[in-house]
Amino acid sequence: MKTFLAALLCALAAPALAADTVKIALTGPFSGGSAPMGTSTRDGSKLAIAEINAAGGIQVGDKKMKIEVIERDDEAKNERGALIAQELASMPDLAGVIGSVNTGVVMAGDKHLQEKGITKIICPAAGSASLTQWANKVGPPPFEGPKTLSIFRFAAHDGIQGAMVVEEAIRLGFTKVAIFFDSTNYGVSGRDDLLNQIKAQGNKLEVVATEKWNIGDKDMTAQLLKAKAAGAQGILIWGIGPELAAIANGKAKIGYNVPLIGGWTLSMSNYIDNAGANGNGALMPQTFIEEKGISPKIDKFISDYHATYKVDRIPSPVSAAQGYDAVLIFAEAVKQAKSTDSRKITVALEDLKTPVKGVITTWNKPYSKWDPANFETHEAFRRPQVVMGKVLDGRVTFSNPADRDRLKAQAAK
Amino acid sequence: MPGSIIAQMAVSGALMGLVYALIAYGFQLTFATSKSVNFGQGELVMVSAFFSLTLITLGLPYLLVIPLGLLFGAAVGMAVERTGVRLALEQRSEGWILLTIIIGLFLFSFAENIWGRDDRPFPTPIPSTPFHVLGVDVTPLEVSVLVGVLAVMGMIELFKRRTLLGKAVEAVAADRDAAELMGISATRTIVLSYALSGGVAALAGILVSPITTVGPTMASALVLKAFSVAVVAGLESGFGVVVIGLFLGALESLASFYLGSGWREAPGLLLLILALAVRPTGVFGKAVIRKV
Amino acid sequence: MLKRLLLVRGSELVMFAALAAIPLFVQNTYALGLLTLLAIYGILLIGLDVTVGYLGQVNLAQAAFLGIGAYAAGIGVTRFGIGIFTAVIVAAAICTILGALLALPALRLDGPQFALATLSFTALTTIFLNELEPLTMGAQGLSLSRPPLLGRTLSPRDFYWLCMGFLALVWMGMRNLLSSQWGRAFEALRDSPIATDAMGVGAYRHKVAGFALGSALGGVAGALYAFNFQYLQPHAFVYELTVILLLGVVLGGRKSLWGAVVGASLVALLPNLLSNKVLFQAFSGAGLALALLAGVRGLSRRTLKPFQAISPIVATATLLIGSFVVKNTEDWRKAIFALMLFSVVVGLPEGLMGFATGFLARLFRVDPPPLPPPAPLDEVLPRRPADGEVLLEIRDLKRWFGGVKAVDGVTLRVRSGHCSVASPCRSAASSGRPGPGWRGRSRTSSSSPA
Repeated sequence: MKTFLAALLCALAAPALAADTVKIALTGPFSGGSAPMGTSTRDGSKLAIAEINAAGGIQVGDKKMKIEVIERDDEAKNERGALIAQELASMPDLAGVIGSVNTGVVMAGDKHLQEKGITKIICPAAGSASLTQWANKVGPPPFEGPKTLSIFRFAAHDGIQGAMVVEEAIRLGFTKVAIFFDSTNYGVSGRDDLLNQIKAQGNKLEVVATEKWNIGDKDMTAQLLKAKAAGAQGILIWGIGPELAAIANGKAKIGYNVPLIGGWTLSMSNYIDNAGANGNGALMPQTFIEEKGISPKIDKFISDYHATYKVDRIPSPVSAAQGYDAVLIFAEAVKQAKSTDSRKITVALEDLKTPVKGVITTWNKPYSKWDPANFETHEAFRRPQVVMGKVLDGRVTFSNPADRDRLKAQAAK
Repeated sequence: MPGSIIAQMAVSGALMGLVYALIAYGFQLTFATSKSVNFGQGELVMVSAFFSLTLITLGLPYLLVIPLGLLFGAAVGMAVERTGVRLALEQRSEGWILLTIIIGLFLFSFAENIWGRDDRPFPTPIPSTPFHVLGVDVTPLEVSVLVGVLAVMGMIELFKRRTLLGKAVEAVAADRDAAELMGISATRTIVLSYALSGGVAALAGILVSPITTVGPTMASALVLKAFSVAVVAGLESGFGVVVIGLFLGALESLASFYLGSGWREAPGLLLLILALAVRPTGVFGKAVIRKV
Repeated sequence: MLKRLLLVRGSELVMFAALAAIPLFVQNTYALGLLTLLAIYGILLIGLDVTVGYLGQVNLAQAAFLGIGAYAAGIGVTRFGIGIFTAVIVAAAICTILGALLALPALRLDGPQFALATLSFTALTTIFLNELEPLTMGAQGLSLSRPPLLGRTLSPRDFYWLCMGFLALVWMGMRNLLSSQWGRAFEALRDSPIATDAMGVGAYRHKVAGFALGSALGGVAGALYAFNFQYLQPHAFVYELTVILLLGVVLGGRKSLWGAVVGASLVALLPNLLSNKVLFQAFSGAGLALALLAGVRGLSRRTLKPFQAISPIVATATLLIGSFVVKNTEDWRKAIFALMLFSVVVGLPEGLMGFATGFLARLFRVDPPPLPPPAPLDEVLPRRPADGEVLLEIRDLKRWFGGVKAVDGVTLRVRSGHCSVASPCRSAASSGRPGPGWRGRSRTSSSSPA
C-alpha cells in the first residue's frame, strides 16, 4: 500500500513533458484577509503574461517560448508557504517564482528556493525582513549573508514606507502619535521601521501609545481608548485590510477623529469597503494609483484589468501594477539570459541591459550584483517611485496633486 | 486608567456577551430535549447571517429579512438534526458530536465558496452613532442586541410555558420515555427544538453582523464562548445564560484592555475548563444523578 | 497460528522495509518531504487513536499537543541548544505532564463535555503560544534549524529515516502495550466503564494514563514536526487541524495501528490528491462504488438503517459530481473532508482498515488468535483457607447513589467455616436517613463451601 502510494507520488511529482515553455510560478494568498493583494498580483502578472504570449512569447535564444503559469495559493499561512516552496524547488524546469504577500510566508519558504537557486521575485510583500533576512547582521548572533542570492524584491520596502509615513506626520504638524501594529512579522517589522525612522528624523514625534492586535480581532476599542487618553494626534499604523477597517470604525464609534497614516495596505479593497466613510482620509505610500489620464500605458492597463477580470476597481492597484511590471522585468531577464535556467536568469536580472517600460515607471537596471552588506542591491524600488496616496470615497487618489503632475510629465517623456 | 474607560469597556463587552447568551440559549433548547448540542452551531450562525446579507443586498427591507433569516436558520437546524443527530440518538450513541462537527465544516466550506472568504459589512438601518447613558457611550446597535436577545428568549419561554407544544417540549426534556408513553412524539419534539435553536442562532447572526461584519470565520470564536456560557450557567437553566453572558462579556473586554487583545478569549476558555472540572452541571444547574 | 503470525507481523515487516527503502529510489525531495510528514502524522494519529479509538472519546486536543511538542523542541533548540533526541524526550515529557493535567479534570466528564474541555484546551494553547512572545516569538513565528545528530548534519533523506525510525519504535511499543493488560483495560472501559470500575480496574486511572500517553505521542510528533518545517507559528495548531486529524483516525480505522498510518497517509497526501483533478475523480468514484456496495449489502441484510445505507451513497455521489462541476477542488477542500468523514462515520464506522481487515481475514481464512490453554483448577480457585481464618473484612463501607445513601458504615468480617448473616437493624435505605449500620452475626457450621 505504501509503495503504491509512493509510486503515485512520483507520478504526480514527475516533470511535465513540455519543455519549450517558460515556467513561471505565481504564488500568494488567494484566500483570506490578504487575498485582495494576492489575487491582484496574480491577475496583474497574468495580464502581462497574456500580452507576452499574444505576441508569440519570449525570445529565448533563437526561438520564441510562451510562458506557462503555475498557480499556488499559500493562504497567507507560513507552513503552506514552506510546503509550496519545497514543491516548487523540486520542479526540474521552473524558470522562476513571482509572488508572496506575507512576510511570514517569505521567511518560511524562500530558503528552499534560495537553496536550489530558483529566481524569486518577492512581490508585493513589503515587510523589511523578507529581504533583510539574507543580509549581514551584527550579533547576537552575528550572521553572514550568502554570496549569491536568487531572491529579489519588487516592492517599496518598509524602510522607504516608514520614512514617508513619519515625514507625513511631521509635515502635518503632529507632536504626539500612537503606533498601532499587528502581531505578525509585517506589523512588528513595520513598528520597528517606524521607531527607527522617528529617531532618524530627529525625534520630532513623541510616541505616546504603542498598541498591537492579532489577525482576526474585530474590536480594537481598548487600544483606541488608550491612544485617545494619551492624546495621540495621529495613528501610525501597520496592519492589513480587515483589522484596519475595524480600527477606522472603532475610531468613529468613540468619536476619535485622528488620521490613520500607515503602510500601503491601507489601500486594500477590504479596508476601503468595510470602513466606508470612516476610512476616508487615510494616508499611505503607494507605488501605483488607479487613476486614468496619466499616461496611455496606464490607461490601457487599467482598462484591460477591468475588462479581463470584470471589476470596476482593482482590489489592490499597487499589487496588480507590481505584478504586471515584475513579469515584464522577468521576461526581459529570460530574454537576456537566452535560457530558462533559473541561475542564468538571476545573473541576467542583476545586470539588466535593456530598460523595461512598465506601468509604474521605466525600469533602468533595477537590480545589481548581490552584496550581503547592502540588501538594496536586490531591491528595485527607491523613493522616487513611491507617492503618498489618500483614501477618498471608495477609491485611492493622490494625496499631493504635485505627484500626479510629476508622473504625467515623466510619462510624456 | 479613568473609571469611565473601564465602565465603557465593561458595558460594551457585556452587550457582546448577550450574543453568547443567545447562542448558549440555543444550545440549551436542544440539550434539554435530546441531551445533544450542535457543535457546528457557529457555522449555522454564519450561514444564516450570509443568507440575510444576500436578502438585504437583493433589496428586501430589513423588517422582512429578519423573519426570513430566522426561518432559514430553523430550516438548517432541522437539516442538522436529520442528518447529524437523529441517527446517533436512535443508536443511543454520541456520534452526533462528530457528525455535527462535520456538518459545520461542510457549511463553512460551502459559505466560503458561495459568498467568498472575505469579511463583508452588514448594512443595517439601525444607526451606530453612540448616545450617552450614565457616563458610557452606547450605540443603538448594541441596544438592539439587548432587545433582540431578551425578546426572543422571552417569547420562547412563554411558548414553553403557555402553549401545548411548548409543554410537550418540557415533557420530553424531563423524561423522554414517559413523554412517548403519553403519546408525545419525542422525535418531532427534538426536531422542533433544533428548529428553534437554529432560528435563535440566525437571530444571533443578524444582531451581531453589523458589529463584527459577516465572514466565514465570524462565528467560530463566538461559539466556543457560547459553550462557556452554556456550561457555566448549566445546560438546563434558561435565564441563567443571560447573567453569565453579561458577566463573561464584561470579563473578556476588561481582559483585553488590561492584558492585551490577544488574551481576550482566555477568561472564557479558562472559565469553561474550570466549570467543567468543578461543576459540570453549571452554576444554575441541577446535579445529575446517574442510575447504575 | 503461524499463518496469523506470518500475515500480520510479516505485512508489518514488509511495510517498514518498503518505507525504509523508498529514499534509495526516490530522489525528489518534495516526495520525501511528504513521506516524512506521513511518518510524523502517523505517530500523531496513533496517539490520537488511544483516546478516540480505544477510549472512545472525541478528543479535540491533539493539535494542541502537536503544537506544544513542536514549540518545546523549538525553544529547546534555539534557547538551550539541545540535540534532537533530547528535544524529543523533552517534548514528550512536557506533553505527558500537560496531558495528565488536562485529563484529570476533563476525564471526569462525559462525551460532549469532554470534547468541549479538549476544545477549550486547544484554543487556550493557541492563545498562550501567540501571546507569550518573549518565549515563543508569537505571531512572527519561531525559526529553528535542525541540530546535527551524532555530529552529522541530517540530509532530507537522513531525517526521513529518523522519522520512520521513530514511527517504527512507536508502533512496536504501542502494539506491545495494547496486547497487554493495559490494552484489555482500555477495551473494557470503553464499552462499560462502570463494570470496569466494579471489577477493580480503575477506569479513571486508566483513562488518564491513556490520555497522557496519547498526548506524549503528540509531543513526539510535534518535536519531529518542528525539525521538519524549521519554522513554527501558533496558528498552525488550531481546531481546524484537529478535525483533519479526526478525519484521518476515523477514515483509517479506529483502534488500529494500521488504521492510524493509513489515515496519516491520507492526511499528508490529501492536498496533492485534491489539486490533481483526475486522481480526485478516481478516488471519489471508488468511494461511491464502495458506498453502494456497503449500502446495498447493509440494506439487503438489514444490518443498516436506510439512512445509514443511503447517506454515504449521497455523500460520495456529491463528491463525484462535485469533482466534475467545481472549477477548483482546492477551494472546496473542507467540504470534501466533511463529505468523506461523513460517509465514513455513518457508513463505515470501522474505517478503511477495519473494513479491510475483516475482508482480508475472510479472504485468507485467518483464524482468530487462539485462546490460552485452560489453567489447572488449583491455580484458578483460591486456596482453601484454614478454619476461622478471615476471608473477607469490610470496614466502614458507604455507598451513595446520587443523593441517596444506600449503605452507611458497614463493618463486617466473614470467617472461613462460619455462616455470616447481615441484617439491617433499621431500614436505612428506604427512609433516606443514614442508619446506624448493619450488625453481623456469625454462626459456626460444620460444612461450608470453600
